[in-house]
Parts: sequence; structure tokens; C-alpha cells
Amino acid sequence: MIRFLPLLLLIFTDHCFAYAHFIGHGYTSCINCHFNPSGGGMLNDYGRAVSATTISSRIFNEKTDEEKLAYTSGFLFRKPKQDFFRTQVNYRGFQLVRNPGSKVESKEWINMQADLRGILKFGEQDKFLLAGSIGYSPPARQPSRKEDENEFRTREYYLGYRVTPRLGFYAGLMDKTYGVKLVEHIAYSRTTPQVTQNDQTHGLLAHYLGGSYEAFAHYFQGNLADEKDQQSKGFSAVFEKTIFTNHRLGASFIKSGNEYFNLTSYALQGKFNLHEGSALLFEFGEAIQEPANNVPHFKSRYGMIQTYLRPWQGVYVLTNIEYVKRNLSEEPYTIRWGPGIQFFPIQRVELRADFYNTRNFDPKNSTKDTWMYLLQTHIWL
Amino acid sequence: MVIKIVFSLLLAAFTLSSSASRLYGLHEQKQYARIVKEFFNKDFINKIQSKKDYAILSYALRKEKRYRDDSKLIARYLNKFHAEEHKKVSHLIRMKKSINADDFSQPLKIYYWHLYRDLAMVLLSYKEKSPRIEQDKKYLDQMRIILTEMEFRDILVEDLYSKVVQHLQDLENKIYRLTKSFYIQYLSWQNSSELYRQSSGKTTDLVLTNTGTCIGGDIGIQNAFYEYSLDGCFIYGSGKVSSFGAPNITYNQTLPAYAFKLAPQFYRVVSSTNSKIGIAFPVMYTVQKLSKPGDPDYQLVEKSNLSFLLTINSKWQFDKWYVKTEFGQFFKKEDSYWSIGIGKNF
Repeated sequence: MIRFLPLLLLIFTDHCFAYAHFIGHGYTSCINCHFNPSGGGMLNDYGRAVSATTISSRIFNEKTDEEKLAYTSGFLFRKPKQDFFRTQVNYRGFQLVRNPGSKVESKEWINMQADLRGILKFGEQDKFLLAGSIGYSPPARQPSRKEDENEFRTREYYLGYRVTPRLGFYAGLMDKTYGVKLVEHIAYSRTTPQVTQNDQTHGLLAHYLGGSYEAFAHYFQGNLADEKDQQSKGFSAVFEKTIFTNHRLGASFIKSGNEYFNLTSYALQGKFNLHEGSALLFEFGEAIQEPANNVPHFKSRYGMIQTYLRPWQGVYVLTNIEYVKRNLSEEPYTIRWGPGIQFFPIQRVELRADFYNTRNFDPKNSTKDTWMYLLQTHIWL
Repeated sequence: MVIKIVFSLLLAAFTLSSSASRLYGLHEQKQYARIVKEFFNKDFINKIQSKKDYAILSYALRKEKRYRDDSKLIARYLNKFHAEEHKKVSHLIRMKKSINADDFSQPLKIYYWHLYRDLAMVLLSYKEKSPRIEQDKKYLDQMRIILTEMEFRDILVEDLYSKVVQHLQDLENKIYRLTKSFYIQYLSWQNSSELYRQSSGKTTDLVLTNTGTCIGGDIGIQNAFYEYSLDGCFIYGSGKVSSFGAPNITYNQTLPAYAFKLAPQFYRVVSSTNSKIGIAFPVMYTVQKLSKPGDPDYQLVEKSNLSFLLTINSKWQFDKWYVKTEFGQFFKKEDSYWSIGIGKNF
């Protein structure tokens, strides 16, 4: 397992801050707080205000009224003076400690993300959108970075048009729509169906927000910045239904492929509101992996259960449980267990500690668990 | 005889007059404690004839935070000076008819407000649950209806009512109640052992990865904020043991495992659904017999069957059912333990 850690590290970031657990605050749909209806990317004005007043702790500004907090939640601590342009700056870095307490303990600080985002929006209820971002991309560990590879890249730019408040179309470079969008891109529920940090694609996304359900359909042509033979084409779909007023149950499907690899994946997903900011998320799915060149096809199975329990405003205690069986025709499987804590001391600042204990189950052999933890700082303006 | 009666009446009138003078004097001097001490007694109250005397005494009682006494005095005042009006209001409320505020005098409304406030203050003064709360709350509710119907200081009425309701909820939340539950868990724990090689004097690590099922329950006390309980369960499982980092011996077998786990635990309730996070200090007694190595040069290093752990727990509650997770580490070992299960409160 240790030998895979650099690879895990490579994909350990989140460029989009999709916090599906905010269903615990009653937000069943991402579009409440984000311009992108599938979540992630820039926060809209309402999302910034929610972050300042409801998500962040009030220990340092207990006496400041909510209206003032919301007013100062805009870019550079002020309310925008115009309606057509919004911008955001993000930084995320963390201390990664592998094999803590052992003879082979290693520590390093990684600047994972520093990017600038902007969005032009016009029309009533932001009918037309033009969004983009550019940011620092950390050096790849495995495979090693090519000499001519740019340290800056964009992971998102798109044109959006909301035909009605319920129906919208988005064209451009975006995350593939699939499953429960998590912060942890090393989650098996993100890596197995290949919807991780660098899996954005050019395509057309349709979104429909019904009274008690939400649907996404995404047709994509692969990332056009990749070599043509590596561009993974296909489509994905997500359907979620609101149940018992404030919970969500849904399903996802994705089919994609290029000259070397085809993938079909499907999942059942749920988001449950445990009230007062606490939430439970889950996703269970399978992926049929079809490598080219006569390599045998195989089917993988994965599962994710994650809870965010909120003892005080601004503090979320995590339990993250993941399961993966890489090949269903073989017996070994892996379970990763990760307690953690997420703390928003003030608006625009997130501090987070995550522990990961990975245990392999193999009927032929018993191996020692692997451990790592991260101390993460995330700042946005 | 007639002279005697007349003299007595004159004496009584003079006494009352001098008492009233003293009451007014003390009121002017804001000597509220003295007023209550000297005049809040049966003799004086039975003799009071003027509305002013009632007003001064009532005001002094409120100043001295004698809200229950004041409420009784106001009830007496209402019977004496506003009996007809009060009867009419009571009738309209009972018949669920609307009240025209203009049909009633201003002093009546003011005294209703004071009575309502007194009752609210009485309720806010409770430090713990009491049988009298229910009756006091019933009176408060009645006064709230009257004042709301009369549209008298309705914003203040609602503000005060919210405070009372919150206070009573806080009192309720503090009460600890017995909590019991039954659960079944899937769990895994890793344990280490050692092989000792006599010829070289060196040891080789053995790693045991166990999985199992745990059936048990917990019992304790809980209020709206905290739970203190004792958890116990019987574990049945099996584990794979392998030698680790020793090229000269292959020690690889699957073994059954039995264990008993007992844990004092503490939880903080984080939401109105009763979901919780907590910590526990389990003691685990494990029976898992490792067989002797095939090579006589190697010996198993005996280890205690008793282990101590620290775990971080969570309970995700859905009505009476809950999902429980535990994640922890054994003391003085690198080995870890986790579990996930489903339980039901009863």
C-alpha cells in the first residue's frame, strides 16, 4: 500500500470544494450555493453569505450580526457594487504525514492549489453565465512531470444558459457529473469511476431541478487538452429524489472510453440530513473496467459512508468509511477508515485534520495497516 | 354602648389612615422592602379599600421580585375592582368568541399584563423541573390568550412567552433518563504478536487481522446534551495471522477468535435527531490460540489476553434505530480497531 501513496498524493486535492454534507443545513441541491449546479467551483453570493453566517464558527465574532457578516462575505470583504462579475481566489495546502510514529515516518508540506476564478453573469436570476478558472497545479509525482508541462492549468471554463430557473444547459470544461461529489479525491467512490481531480472533460451538461427531484445528463468528448487517443468520450447521468422532505436518494451512471480503456460505472447514492448541520452521505457502486489489448475485463465494487456530525457551529467531526474490491473475481478487498475534524474558525478559512487507516483483507496473507494523516489549510477570498 | 362603637370605628379609621400615610411615605422614599415587610400581611390586605394602596403594594412586591405574591394580590384586586369585567372576559374566552378591547378598561388590561409578567417570572425562576410548573404554565397560557385577544402589548407578550418556553425546554433538556439499547456490529481489529528465534535471539513480528461480529448492548443515562453509558458485547470472529518481515519462516494460518468487550463511554448529543459523537475506553478480553511454529527453533512470545483501547465513537440516529461506529487504537500497541453496526433503543 505504501508504494501507492505518492499516486494517492497526486490526486489528493479538491479544486471544487463540493461539500455535499451541507444537506445537514437543509440544502439538498448544490445550485443553492454554487453557480455550477453539480456543485463545486465558485460560490454564488448566497453561498458566500451562508458560509459566513451558518457554516463558519462565531467564536471570534459572536456579537457581529448576521447581516453584517453576510455583507462582508463578498470578494475582498465587501458587497460587490455590480451584478455582472464575481471573482474568487483560493489557496489550499497541507502537511502530509505518512506512517506516523513509525521508523519510516515522513512529513511534507504541499501547496496543493492556488487559483483564481471569475464568472460573468447576466440576465434575471443569472440566466447567462461565463465561468473560468486558472491555477497552480502541483508537480506530478507519478508519472513524473513532463519537461514542457505547464505549472498552471484551468480545470473549469464553461458557458451556462438557464432556459428557466428549473432547466439549464452548460457547455465547456467541467467535472463529470457522477455520484456524491466529495472533497476527498482519493475516495474509492471517486477513483474507481474515474471522476477525480484531473478528470474534467469538455462536454454539454443539462440540468433539471424539479419540485422534489433533480436530474443531470452530461455528454462529453474528453479533455481536449489531452492527446487525442487519451480523450475519454461518453456520457453520464445522475438522478436524485428528495425523500421525507430533507433527504436525498439517487442513482448515477457513467460510460466512457478511449483507445486504451473503457469504463462503465453505476451507483446508488444517498444524502441524509441528521439536523443542525449534521449529515450522512453514502454511495455504493460497481465499475466494469475494460482495458484494451486483450487484457481481461474486470468488475470492481466500492462503497463509501461518510458522516459529518456538528457539535458546535463551525466544527464538523467526520467518520469516513470506504470499501473497495478491485476485482470481484478475486478475494482481496480493502477498507479505509478515517476519522477527522473540519473547522471553519472564521469565514473564508477552513482547517482540517484527516486520519486514514487502510486495512487490506486477503485470505492468503495478513499485512500491517498503513496510516497517514493530513493537516490542511484552505483559504478563500 | 353607642359611644363605645363610635369610638372603635373612629379608632379603626384613624389607624387605617395613618397606615396609608406611612405606605405612601415609604413609596415616595422607594423603600420597597419596608413596604413588603410592613404591609404585605393578611390584616392590612383585608382592610385595603383603595386602588392606590393595591397599586403601591403590588409595585413593591414586583420590585422585590415577589412575583407569586404579587400574582395573588392582583387576583384579589381584580375580584374586588374588576369582577364584572373579568367575568365577561372569562366568558368570552371560554366561548371562544373574539374580544373587543375597547369594551374593557385600561386598568384591567394593565393588571392583566402585570399578572402575565408575574407568572412568566415565576416560571423563569424555576431551576429544575417541579410539579407546580404545569399549573403555572396553564395560568400563563390563559393570560397570554387574554392579552393577545385584547391586543395589549402583544409583542412583549410573545417575547416573554418565547423566553419561558425556552427556559422550560432547557429544564426538560437537563433531565437525565435511563437509556438502553441492543446492537449488532461488524468489526475488525488487528493485533500483533511475536516469534522468538532461540538460535539468534531475535524476534519476528506476527500480524493478525481479525474480522467478526459483535452482539451486545449498552445501558446508561442521557439528557438532551450528554450520554454516559456502559457498553458490553460478545465477539465471535476469525483472523488471518502471517509472519512479517522474516524470510526464514512462513507462519500463516486462519484462527477463530472469541472476545468480550466492556466499555465505559461518553457521548455529546449533536442534533435534535439524537445523533452523537463520543469517546470510549474499552477493555477487551480475547481468546485466540496461536499454534506452535513448525520449526522448533521458533517460540511464540506469550502476550496478555487483556487489551485496553481508546475509541472515537459516533451514533447516527434515525428515530429508535441507530448506526454506530467505533474507531480506535490499542494502548501501547500500533494496532487498531474499528466497527460499524446497527442498534435499536428500547
